Amino acid sequence: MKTAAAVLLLALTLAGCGSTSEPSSEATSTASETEPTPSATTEAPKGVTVEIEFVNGEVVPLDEKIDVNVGEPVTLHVISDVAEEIHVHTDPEHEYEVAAGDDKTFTFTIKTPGQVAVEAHELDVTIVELVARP
Amino acid sequence: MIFGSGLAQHGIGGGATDLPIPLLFAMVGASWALALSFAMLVVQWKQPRFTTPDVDPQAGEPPARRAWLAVVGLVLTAWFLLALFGGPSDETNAALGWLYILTWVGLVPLALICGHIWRDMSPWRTIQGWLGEGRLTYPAKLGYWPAAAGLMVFAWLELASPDPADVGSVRIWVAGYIAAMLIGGWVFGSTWFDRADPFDVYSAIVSKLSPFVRDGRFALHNPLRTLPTVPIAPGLVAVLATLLGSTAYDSFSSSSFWQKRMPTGLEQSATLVGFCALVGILFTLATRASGGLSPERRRLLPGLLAHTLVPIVVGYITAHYATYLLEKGQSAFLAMLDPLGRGWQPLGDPATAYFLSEHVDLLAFLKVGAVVTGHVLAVIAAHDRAIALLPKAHRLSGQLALLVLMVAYTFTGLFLLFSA
Repeated sequence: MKTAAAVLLLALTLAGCGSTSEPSSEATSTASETEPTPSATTEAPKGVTVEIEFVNGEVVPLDEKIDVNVGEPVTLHVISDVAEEIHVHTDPEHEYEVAAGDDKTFTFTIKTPGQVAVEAHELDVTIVELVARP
Repeated sequence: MIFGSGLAQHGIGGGATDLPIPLLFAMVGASWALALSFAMLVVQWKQPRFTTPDVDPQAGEPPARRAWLAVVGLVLTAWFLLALFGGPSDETNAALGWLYILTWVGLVPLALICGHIWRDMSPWRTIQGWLGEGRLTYPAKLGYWPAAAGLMVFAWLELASPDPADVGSVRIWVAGYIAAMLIGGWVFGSTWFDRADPFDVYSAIVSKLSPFVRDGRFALHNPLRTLPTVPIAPGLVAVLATLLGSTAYDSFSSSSFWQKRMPTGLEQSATLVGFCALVGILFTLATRASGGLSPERRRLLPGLLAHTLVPIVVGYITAHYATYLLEKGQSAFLAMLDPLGRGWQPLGDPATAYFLSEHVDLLAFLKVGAVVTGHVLAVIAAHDRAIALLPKAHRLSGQLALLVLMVAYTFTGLFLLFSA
């Protein structure tokens, strides 16, 4: 019994170490200017822009992870040769429609930390996963 | 985790999935799991501490079912079936969230806090009580295998079927489940539910880890004492392996490594079954890996040690599904107040409170803490049982394979939480 208690106590201290030595996520949220990720361009003045292209029944990018900050505007720049419906799995969801030949941008922000899937409804694939950190 | 990345559109749909846990948290958790495991080998105790020798852990009649809980169970089931079969035939059907979130995931904390009240609430047991005792004796050889099969089909429906949010397939699964429960209960009596009802068996096993309820009544106690009383029968390892393997598959299948390959339905199903089989086979081999035992005795070891998997299962499932239950569960609950999809909002339309998701470090801490706590409890339970089961000369070496396997399970779990 004593051993079990000691072991549990150790288990509790373990996580204690973890939480105190993890200030990095705070630091990023205070930075005012975000570096654009490789797949983003600097077209929009602020935030992250994701270039999405539907061509010949395929989409680029496919299932890529992109880091964003919570509260930062995220812009999807979509060029498409086909009618598509794009779902952004925030709560509540965003649904954007594009028609064949469209060149459109859609902007939204993510309010809660988490991984938000951006999906092409007709193709039934995940285009990007937005990894939103505070 | 179907509603995170599935194509559900409203209500319980929407919403993000968890951030991966930071590398540092995963590393610290893994180091502690490893260090504590080997510390256990050093502080070896010589007599079993958590099995009282004068009480046969497998004996004892459970107390009578409480009538008011049976009524609650009947009402909830009727409400669920009304929503499932009377509600809308698309993803907005409230029964989907009730089944996948509140029932499937909520079952674990319910059993941990309230013990096996599933037994009291089970409507199938109530109906079986009206029909009278069974016509045949339940074949002992069948053991938990029907429950393991039911869990596997449910996991497949949720994780590897073409569209888990398809109300039609959920209706078929539920109808098949109800038919199996009613017919089985009529033929075999209440033993059927102890061995073949996937939810009942899951709840019964997890409840042995509850520190609050013993023998169906409130009594604070050390859960390591009740854990060895998980009733042993053929297929017990399969049940636990299905629970652990399918949860690991859920993490794995959402990784971009897997998604990028665009696996076919058959590949997904085969991988799911493969994960569960691997967990079970490795456990069976590791528990048998001790010298100085007769083949008959050795064959019994996986069952006799199966309860040690329970804390690992509960720890990992807690880490994996905590936000799913606590955050997506909120909208699932509100949706249930509108079973027919008519827009009823008796509590208004409050926004989901994302307390855990917003506190990123706290959430990562809780996840790693759950996994490591489960691991440590498992290692203690395994050591304690091994003393009683293994011959003196092989006690240390006989435990080693299982210890290493448990570390491997825990490392894999942490890795999946880190990379998902």
